[in-house]
Order: sequence, then C-alpha cells, then structure tokens
Amino acid sequence: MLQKKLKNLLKIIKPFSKVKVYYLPMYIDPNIQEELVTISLFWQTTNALMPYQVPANYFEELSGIVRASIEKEAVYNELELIAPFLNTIPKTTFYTKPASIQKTPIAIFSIAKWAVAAAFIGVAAVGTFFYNNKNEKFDYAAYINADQTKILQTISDSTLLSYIDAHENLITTPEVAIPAYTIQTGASIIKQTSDEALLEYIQSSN
Amino acid sequence: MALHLDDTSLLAQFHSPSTKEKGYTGIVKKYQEKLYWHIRRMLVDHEDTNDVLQGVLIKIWNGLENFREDSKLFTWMYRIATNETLTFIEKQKKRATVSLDQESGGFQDKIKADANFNENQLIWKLQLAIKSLPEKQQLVFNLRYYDEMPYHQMSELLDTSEGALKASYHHAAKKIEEFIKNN
Repeated sequence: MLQKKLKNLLKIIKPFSKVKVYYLPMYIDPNIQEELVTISLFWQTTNALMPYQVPANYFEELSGIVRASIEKEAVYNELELIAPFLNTIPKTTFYTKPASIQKTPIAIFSIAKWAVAAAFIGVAAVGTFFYNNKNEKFDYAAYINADQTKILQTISDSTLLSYIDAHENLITTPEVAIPAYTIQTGASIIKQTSDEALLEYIQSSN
Repeated sequence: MALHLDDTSLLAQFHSPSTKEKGYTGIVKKYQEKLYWHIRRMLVDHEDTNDVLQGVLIKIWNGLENFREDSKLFTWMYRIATNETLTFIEKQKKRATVSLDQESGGFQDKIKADANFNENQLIWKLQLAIKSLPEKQQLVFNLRYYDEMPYHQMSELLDTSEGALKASYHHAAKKIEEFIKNN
C-alpha cells in the first residue's frame, strides 16, 4: 500500500523536478484514507498533496520578519502613549541624494601652464631674497662677544701705528675750550647805556 | 527536519523574561508551516497568506502572556489563524461585492493563475473542487484531509459537535468527488 502511494507520488513530482514546488505529503494516516474510502472508492485515486509554491527561504526568514514587526508595533504603541501626534507624521525620509553631479571638464593644459609660471616666479623670488639677505647679514652677537685683546694681538704694530697716525684727531682726547662768559650785572648795563636811553626807559615804564 | 521542544518547555521559555524571545521563536518555528498551509489552503495566494500569517503571529505574541494552558497551544493558535483568515475573506468579499460562498470564481481564478497550474492534473482539480465548497466545509475538509486533525480537536477549534463535523466532512467529500468527475 505504501509502495503504491510512493509510486503515485513520484509520478506527480517527476514533471516538476526542475521547478521549486513545495508538495506537502500530509496524507499518511491510513485511518483518514479508510474513512474516505467508506464515503467513496473515488478517494483511492487521490493524493493529499499541495501543489502551491512558497518562496525560497520563506520559513527560515519568517520569524525574524515577525519579530521586526512586533518591535515596530511596540515603538508605535509607546509613542501613542507619549506623543500620539508624532505617529501621524509619516516617517519617510525627505532628504534626497543628488542624482548625479555634473562635472565640468577641466582645462588641464592651461592650469599646468599657470602652475609652471608661478613656480618659476617663486623660485626666482626666493633666490633673490636669500642672495640679498646674505649680503646684509651682520652678526651682532659675535661682534659684542668678541675678545678685543685677541683681535689686537693679530694686528701688527706697524699697522696699528699707521692707523693711529692717520686718525690722530679721533683717537687723542680733544681739549675742551670753555668760553669765558661775562655775566652782565645791572650796574654794568646802566654804565653802557646812554642817558637819553635811560630817560626814555624810565618814562615809558611809568 | 529540525527538532522542536515540547509546548510546555517552549511556554516556560516564553514566560521567563530572559528567554522570552527564544521561546516565542521556538513556537513560531515549530508551527509556522502548519499555520501557513492552513491559511494558504483558504486564501490560495501567497502574499495574502503571508499578510494574514504575520498578523496571526503578532496576535500570538500579544496573547501568549494570557494564554490559558487548559487548552492546547496548537489548537489556540489554529483558532486565531482560522478567525483571522475568515475575517480577511469577509473583507475581500465586501471589497469585491461578490459572495465567495455562492460564486467562488475569485479563488478559482487565483488557482488557475498559478504558474504551475495544470487543469489535467488531479491535484489541481482537487484544489478547484475544494474552493467550490462553502467556507466552513472547506475548513472541515482541509483540517481532516490535509492536517489529519482528530474530530475532538476540530470540535474544540470550530465550536461544533463532532457529529456535525463528521457529517460536514462526508458532504464535502461527496461534493468534491462530483466536481472532479464533472470537470
């Protein structure tokens, strides 16, 4: 009996072997078939198979999908208690990504030309700066810290003597002549002034 | 085939805060295929089935806290799935303003639209025949024929006496036979 059933089952499944069909061989309880046969012998020829298809991995993924739905519902219900107005606002994202950014073609040659010119000017300017900077440099620190005695020892006596002769007026201490100032007293001024002038002065000051 | 824990262990995991999600996932993994096919046989379309099944599983999550363990977990889940499926069909009826009880063209058209449909194959004819039945008879036939559910369990699920269920199953089988012979 079971072998006959299996043969019938294979006959049905064979044409669908290349199609992913989910058959459900549920008809295995002999009591069910016996019951049907008592109703009609017709039922000896049938098989309790389901010919419908189910998407691949549907049952593997279903529990995860349902858990996500439950969580979504929980979030909705929670917000319904706190701020129901927010549930009326659609959660759709209104931000949009730009379709495609239009890139303007870059004139590489003209940019390169300007870059070369700028680099040349830069090199020339920097070179000039360092050249001039080198001539004007004066090491003040070295000048201040130099040992004057040692420097004098390196210079010969004849050189020193000729330098002193040439710059005698600078090296020798100059004689400072203090001019003889005569302080004019009132009496001397009166002696030097004429009588007419004195008289005029007295008259004008009154 | 994956091995599953018994319902008592899965419920114990669910009721412990640290293993709640693990217990729930275990329950879903254990019964998802049976629930799926229970709904799919009624709705035919996978997308509709998926929508209803996800709703059912969310209801199970919300209701498990208060689940009374005096009834079987599986029966309780089947009842939720059955009610949700019938509610979905009612909504579709209202939208289409076509009574699917009397005119099952809607579901039969969905079956015929299946990529693998072959009107000469008995398994497809059987599906068309089942969809020609009233919804309650479809349920009874599917639960007995495909799910091999005992009548006492079916009685608990559908709130119908075992005798009435047996009679309904008998009528359904006869109608299906007649449909297939005439088409």
